[in-house]
Amino acid sequence: MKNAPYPLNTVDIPVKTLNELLAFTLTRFQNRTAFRYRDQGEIKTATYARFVADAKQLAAHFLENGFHNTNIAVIGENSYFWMLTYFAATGSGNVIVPIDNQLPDDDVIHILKSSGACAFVFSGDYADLAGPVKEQVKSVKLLINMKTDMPALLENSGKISANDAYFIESGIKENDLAAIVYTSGTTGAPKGVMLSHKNILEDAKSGCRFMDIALHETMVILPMHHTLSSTPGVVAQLMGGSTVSICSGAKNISKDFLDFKPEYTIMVPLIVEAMYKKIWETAKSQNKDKLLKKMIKISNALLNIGIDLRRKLFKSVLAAFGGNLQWVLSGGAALGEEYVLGFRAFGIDILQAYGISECSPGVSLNRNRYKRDGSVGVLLDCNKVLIANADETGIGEIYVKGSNVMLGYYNDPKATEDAFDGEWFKTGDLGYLDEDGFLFITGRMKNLIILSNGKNVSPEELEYKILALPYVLEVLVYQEGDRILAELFLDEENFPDREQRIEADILALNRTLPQYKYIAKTIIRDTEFPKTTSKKIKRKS
Amino acid sequence: MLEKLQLILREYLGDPSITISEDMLLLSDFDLDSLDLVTLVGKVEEAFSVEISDRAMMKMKTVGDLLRYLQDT
Repeated sequence: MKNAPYPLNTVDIPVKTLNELLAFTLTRFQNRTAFRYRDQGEIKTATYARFVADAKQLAAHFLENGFHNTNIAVIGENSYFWMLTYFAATGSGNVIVPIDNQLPDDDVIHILKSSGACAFVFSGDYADLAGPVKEQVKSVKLLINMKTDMPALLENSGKISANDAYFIESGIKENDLAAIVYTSGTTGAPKGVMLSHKNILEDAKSGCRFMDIALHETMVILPMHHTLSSTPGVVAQLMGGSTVSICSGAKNISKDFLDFKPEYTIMVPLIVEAMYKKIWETAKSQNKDKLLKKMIKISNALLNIGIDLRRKLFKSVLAAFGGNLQWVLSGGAALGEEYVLGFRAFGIDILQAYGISECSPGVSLNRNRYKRDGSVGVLLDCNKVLIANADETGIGEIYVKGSNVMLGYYNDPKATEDAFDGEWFKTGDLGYLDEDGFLFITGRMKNLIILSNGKNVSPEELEYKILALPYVLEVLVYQEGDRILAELFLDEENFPDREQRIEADILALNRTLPQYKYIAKTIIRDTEFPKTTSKKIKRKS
Repeated sequence: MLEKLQLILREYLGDPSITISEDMLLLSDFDLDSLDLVTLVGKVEEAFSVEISDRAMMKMKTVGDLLRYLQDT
């Protein structure tokens, strides 16, 4: 197939708010399956009609209890109820605050407090948090346990009129705040990215114009609190009337591929890499790795003369992904080219994209039939990119402006001001645009560790915590491969036992951190760190 | 129970002689990533016939944490 520019898809989605999107799906796709998910091991489905009815029912519950223009927080593994909460909150004129389910309890409580959440919706696994939240977060007036409360709340689903005023005519405007998404700040404390209905919808519509996603089968794997999961993975899919299968956790990925048989999905590099390694481990365990390599050589030679037999030749490899998987959107972090080429050899396109929560998140992507290896694709038409302060090679900081760019950081005017240069949002990423408009990422300006699972970690946050140890004089936290390292300069004079204490103290610190922030290794220095002229420790480049 | 867990870990790590103690960190001491941990926990679930929720898994930092969870279940 020719890899060349082609016209954008026509997208006729006249919706300006997320509740209008639900009404739109009802008129277009009423009887199609919107979601497929597991419930206590059993696969269940929900049509668009049922999904909208359920979302309205939950929205009605919020409104009847006086929740309007409030912030509603949600936490839990991916589920149908999680998704309902997202749309019921935004559809009832409230703001959804999706919380990362990998965060330790203290961080969850911190986000609930700082967002001023009035309602807290949680999956059954988080039931033990209800007590501490009630006690410590005074703003929270309503707690909903998805496991024990949600089924009863949805009992009368469908009895509300389709024209009920508070949902369809809720008075929500496109620039109203829809979501506050907490993200790792470069200076430690997480910041609440404020996204409007317009931000999310314009980014999703643009995605629909660029990608072939209408009326297909997809599977959402990444946690839904991640904008890479919620905007292109769900909102854009609903626009196109696709069926979204919900993978409820990393443990179920392989099983869910087999059962749900998606045509495409969204992943972060960590998952792409693990899947690729698994293919080769399986081949090796069956003594078929040499044969597989030979077949790839033959297949690639045939491809060069225009014969594509990949889906037949690699049927058994593709079967592990359900047999229908054609492409994967990869974002969140950089992915090695060998995985892109490796999957392509089997007939699965890995399309690299670039995004950031502050841009709802999509900025650029490689299109299904127009892509460039090594790049993160062409710019979505909802935004423009400026390469600021470019050097002689054309590399500079990536600035973005457009309808997908956030309203600002919640209750943090200073951070908001710092994040913008006029109308342009400063991403902190470095890159360049080639002559055809493909964006390439070359590095970062900000001190942010980006792991292959798409998680961002602020080194300063960890350094601050380590510096609280009395015998640590200086510390530098940085990334080595996919691990986080702490290099330390210790107080030799006053703490003769410092080297014995450090191991236990770092373990104690790790216990308070989510797994992805673990300090995997400590290195003890004999001398102070080299400093900049302003006496700051020079960071590793 | 610890011995059974050690066996599973050694098999997963492909190193029958590796020393495994309760205070070892599941991720960094064995050089595992979060997906490895998910796979490993899947094997533990199978071997001990238990279900370990994602939330419980995320709270497990050391071999000892995993062991205590199994003992309490």
